[in-house]
Amino acid sequence: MENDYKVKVENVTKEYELFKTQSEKLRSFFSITKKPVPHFWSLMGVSLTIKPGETLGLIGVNGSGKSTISNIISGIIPQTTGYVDVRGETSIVAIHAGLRSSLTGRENIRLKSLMQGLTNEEIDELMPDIIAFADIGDFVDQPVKSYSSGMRSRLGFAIAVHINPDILIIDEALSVGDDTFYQKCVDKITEFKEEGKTIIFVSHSLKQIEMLCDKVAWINYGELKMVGETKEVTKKYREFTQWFKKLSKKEKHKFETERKSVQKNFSIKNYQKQITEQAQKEHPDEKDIPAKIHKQFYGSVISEKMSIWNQLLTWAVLILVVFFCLVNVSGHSLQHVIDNPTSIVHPSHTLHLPGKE
Amino acid sequence: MKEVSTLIKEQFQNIGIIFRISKYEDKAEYQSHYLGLIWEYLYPLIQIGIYWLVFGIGLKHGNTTHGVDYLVWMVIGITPWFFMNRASLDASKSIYQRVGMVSKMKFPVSILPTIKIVSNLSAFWTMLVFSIIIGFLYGVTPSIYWIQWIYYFICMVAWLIAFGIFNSTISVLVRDYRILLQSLMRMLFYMSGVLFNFQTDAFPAPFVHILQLNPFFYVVSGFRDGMLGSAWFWQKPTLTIVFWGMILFFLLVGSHLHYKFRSRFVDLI
Repeated sequence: MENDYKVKVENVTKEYELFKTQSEKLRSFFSITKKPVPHFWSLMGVSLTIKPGETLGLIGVNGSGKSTISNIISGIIPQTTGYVDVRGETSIVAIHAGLRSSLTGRENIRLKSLMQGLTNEEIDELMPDIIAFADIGDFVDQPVKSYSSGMRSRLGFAIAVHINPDILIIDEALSVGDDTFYQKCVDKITEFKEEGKTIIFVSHSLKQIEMLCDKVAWINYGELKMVGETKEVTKKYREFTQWFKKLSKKEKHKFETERKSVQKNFSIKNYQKQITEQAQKEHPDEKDIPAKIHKQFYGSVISEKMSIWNQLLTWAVLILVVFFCLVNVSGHSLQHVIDNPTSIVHPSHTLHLPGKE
Repeated sequence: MKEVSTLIKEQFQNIGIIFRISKYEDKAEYQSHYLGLIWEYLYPLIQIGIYWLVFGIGLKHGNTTHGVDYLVWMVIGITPWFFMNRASLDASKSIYQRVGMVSKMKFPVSILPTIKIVSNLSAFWTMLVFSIIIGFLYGVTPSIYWIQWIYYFICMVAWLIAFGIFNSTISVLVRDYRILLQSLMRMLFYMSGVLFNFQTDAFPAPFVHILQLNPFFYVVSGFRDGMLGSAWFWQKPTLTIVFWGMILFFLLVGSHLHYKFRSRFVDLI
């Protein structure tokens, strides 16, 4: 295994629960439901490594899990299982860049930068650069709700590239800008590349990918179909889309339903077994492979189910609190209650106030 | 416990961000008002005036308050109450309000309630200074008991964080919860002994003992005990255990729910 990487993603999966009604959601939240909720696996075991200074393109059809993986890498959402190691600060640019529409552009710049951990002095220094880059003129002092979608994405992009991230993740944000701004972004991205920064570029546009990326990963319905040199992968992807386009409406529908049902019926247990067996085949003399794989799967995620110990602890705390509540209501001292357990149900009718003899 | 320790770690790792954003939000919130930040102080003062008129002068409850004037007694109790009330309600909607903004960036969502708590602190300090001045005017002198304020301040913040993380998560999941919480807080205002002293023989003892369990009462009466030098916090061990037990309970359940649903906050709204 190489150790020289910026981002490492190993056997990552992401599961979504598909609730139909509000009450179903509630029942699962109190975990009292017996009825299984339909699941959907947006990612079914993806492994990737990105080296420092690399520009990786992510391609795939709609809903294939491109945004899911880029969100997992940037730390916005946690993976369901698997191991993710990101060395450095990430910054993500998306179309809806998470701006607050009641604040002005300038205020948004400050708030977003503060949220990314910058100090006020650093922001004061960066502010002119960001405004110049976004190039939205006098609108910078207008509330963001009056912006056009192009202006929003320009502002979002300008903020994201100026807070000096090690890893920049661009999630289809360039598709709304006009040509001049697009060129500006491309220049900035090239500049980033020259500085040796790592970029993850999510896009539908093969043209953009071919122009900017060193390496491309093709995510296809939750699986990593291919990763490699830009030319090879884009060629294969083109072939796939052309093949797909030629299918009749019925065949298209059938193909998509099949893929989706695979994603619905994916079993994490089988996947873990499969990975374990594979690892055992590769290193037959190593002993504790199942434990290692289990650790890799679940070691870095906070479990959705409360662990047994946590449950016990929570109940213990609750019982203790209730007990002491009862002691207080009974009006006797703790010593008295321990000596005469029955006195807890015979409340005293005199009031003792601390400090008042 | 893993969730609780992650939660606490996140608070400390991002303490700089918490203070900077709460300072910024303080400024931003009152920007469109002519009187600006003055409202933060003016509003509680007006309310104190009203309660003093109604309960202090109108209803003459002055004789049951440890022998000090009613205004002094009320103001030192209402100071932590105003802060806790505002902070609890603000914290409960903090995630709900900000989810659109934080959903597209790497941001520790668990510090959102804490930001609201911190940004309400400035009003609390002013009110505390105001209560001390009132106390001086009515002849209360500083005593060793005032040191307890540090302990009760820690209690208050710990309780608000535990309660805040729980409320903020639930109010994302169940929209009605916020209205429920608002009514609950309004009810607790009268049951936390903020306006009148219920620890008297005028009420049946078991009834008083039930009301004492309320964590808000623990803090309110604690601040009062500090100011008026009536008791130390270790003189009520049972209530202290109940209070910290409740904090631990809310932390355990709240942080569990928070991390369980964190990734889905966006979809849930």
